[in-house]
Amino acid sequence: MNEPAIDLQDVAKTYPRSVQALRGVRMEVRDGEIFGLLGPNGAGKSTLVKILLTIVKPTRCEGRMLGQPVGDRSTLRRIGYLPEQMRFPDYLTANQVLDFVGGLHEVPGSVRKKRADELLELVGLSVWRSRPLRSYSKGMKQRLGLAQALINKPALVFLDEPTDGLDPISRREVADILRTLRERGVTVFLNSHLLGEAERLCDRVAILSSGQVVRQGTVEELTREGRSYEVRVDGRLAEIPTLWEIVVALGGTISFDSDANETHITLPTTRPQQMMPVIDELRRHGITIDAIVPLRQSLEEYFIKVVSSAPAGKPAATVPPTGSRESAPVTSGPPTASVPTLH
Amino acid sequence: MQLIAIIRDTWRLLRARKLFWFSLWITALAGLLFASISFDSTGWSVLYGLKHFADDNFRSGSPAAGELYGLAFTGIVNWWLTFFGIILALVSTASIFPEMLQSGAIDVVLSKPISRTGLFIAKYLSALLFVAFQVTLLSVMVFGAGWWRLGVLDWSVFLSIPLVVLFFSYLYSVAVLLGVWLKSSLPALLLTLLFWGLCSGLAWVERVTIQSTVASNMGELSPELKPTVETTRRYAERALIALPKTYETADLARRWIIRDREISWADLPPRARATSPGELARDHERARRLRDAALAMEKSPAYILGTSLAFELLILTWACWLFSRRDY
Repeated sequence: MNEPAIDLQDVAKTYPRSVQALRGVRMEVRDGEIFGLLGPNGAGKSTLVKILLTIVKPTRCEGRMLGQPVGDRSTLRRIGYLPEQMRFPDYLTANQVLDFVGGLHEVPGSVRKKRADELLELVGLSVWRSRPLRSYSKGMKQRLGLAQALINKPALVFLDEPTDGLDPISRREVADILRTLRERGVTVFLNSHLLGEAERLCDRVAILSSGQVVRQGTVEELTREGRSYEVRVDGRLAEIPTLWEIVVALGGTISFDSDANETHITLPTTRPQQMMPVIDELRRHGITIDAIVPLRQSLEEYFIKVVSSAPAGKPAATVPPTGSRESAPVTSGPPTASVPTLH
Repeated sequence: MQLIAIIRDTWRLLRARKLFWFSLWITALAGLLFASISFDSTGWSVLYGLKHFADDNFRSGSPAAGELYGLAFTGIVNWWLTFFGIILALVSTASIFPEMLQSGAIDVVLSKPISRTGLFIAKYLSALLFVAFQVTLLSVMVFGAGWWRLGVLDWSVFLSIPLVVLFFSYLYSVAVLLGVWLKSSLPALLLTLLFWGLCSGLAWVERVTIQSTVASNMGELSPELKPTVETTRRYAERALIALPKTYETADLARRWIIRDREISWADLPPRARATSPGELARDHERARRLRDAALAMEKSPAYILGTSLAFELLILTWACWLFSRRDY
């Protein structure tokens, strides 16, 4: 297995007036994957990225990036970066932006020119290459930002909200570009608040809350915690005490969805055989089962649950190692918690 | 390669502004005006012969013609380049650092494999190159004009390039410090102009008190005022030790370029201009003594440049330290 692209053991940052932005971040980004860093506003995502890119100086930093200690300036030669609110003067053209960024990366002039052509083609800005940025839409500027982040053929690219301001079609195009980069072996570090996008794109994600990584793993591993099975019965279910006892004993809930006129019996389990006592009880009472549906918690639901339960300002629970998610705490509330519970 | 990229980027920033072209046109105009001074056998003319002055002293082949050209050039250096030109240059370049420090712009440059000190120096040099370009343009025009009008290749006019760039660099170091500190162009510019005013004011006080001391030694000043003048001069001198010598640096052009230090009318104070031959002789004598005394008290170029550069280095080190240690 390759060395991780980023391996952080302990990263901390305290701003003046004792504002603790990061409280000992521990994180691993594997080589060649699309990694998503998720977190609410003020969680410390941008600070962490800026520390890795030497824009912010850490209070404490133990870790390596592309095999070198974090902060090593020569490593930046192999890194691309699209800041959240990238700002280039509006009198520059796309060609000039790429020329400038390529120059800072010490990409030779002829190579720079060739790569600029390729990248502008890739992001669909070839026709606009010689026009000043003042004539660009927000989406076009964002696509140019992506192009400039790739001018040095990076091994690792940091993208801070890369689809911000893009229309759905452009978003899909950016997602395709990121997948292409992954296919080429480029590690993509995605900082995004669009959880649906992260869920679709990322191989692995980390959730940062109050300056600490509270969860880390594949989307599959993280959302497994909230998996459940749901039995759907037509209409409002009559009160059956024995059924209620079984459901409560299994940590489930019974709810009525008035819109669908259905009763939902939900059990937090990944194993369908655990549903058998409920099914048996329903059949015993001659109740017709409409459907048995496996439910999967979305990343967004998982994110909200994790972030709301993480105590602010206190060390979060140790990140469970990959593959040990079965032992992670599981809440009994099903994803349809908003549906009123039957009494 | 990184240095070139940064310089090119800064030039694009400057070129994108109307002020850049305005400064360039004004500089070219000053050069063209200078080149319009010509001499013939009866006198001299300006504006390419549009206005002719019959004058035996300033005519083709007379030594005074060369002096007039030198005076005109140092006049341009002193008044155009080191005043209007510097103000335009400060206005043009004051935003270089604050704009680089804007969120979204600084992230792009700092995430590149260039040291913060290197980046700082490259940006600073870019602004100096802008001024050097403008002065070089004017110097080349003046040099060409001298060759065309007088048939003289006066290489000393190119001395104005380092002198004006130095002059600008003292003030620009202050603008950079304030720009890095405040992250805003306008306050940085205004405070720099204020600082320049302070330096010029102190230099003026020093010059006036030196003249007054000489006048006092010649018995032209009330003895009661002498201690006050002396004290004021001492304070001004002390304050100026730590400050950049803007006026004196610009004046080095006059000291180095105009070699002939004979008394001319231009040197005589207006109140001393005489109406009779006797008065003229007395005034010339007075002016000579004033000049000799002033020359005796004149500071050496090494002192002027050394202390000014020490100030600039200190300010730049401070600005660079602020820039390098800050989180963005």
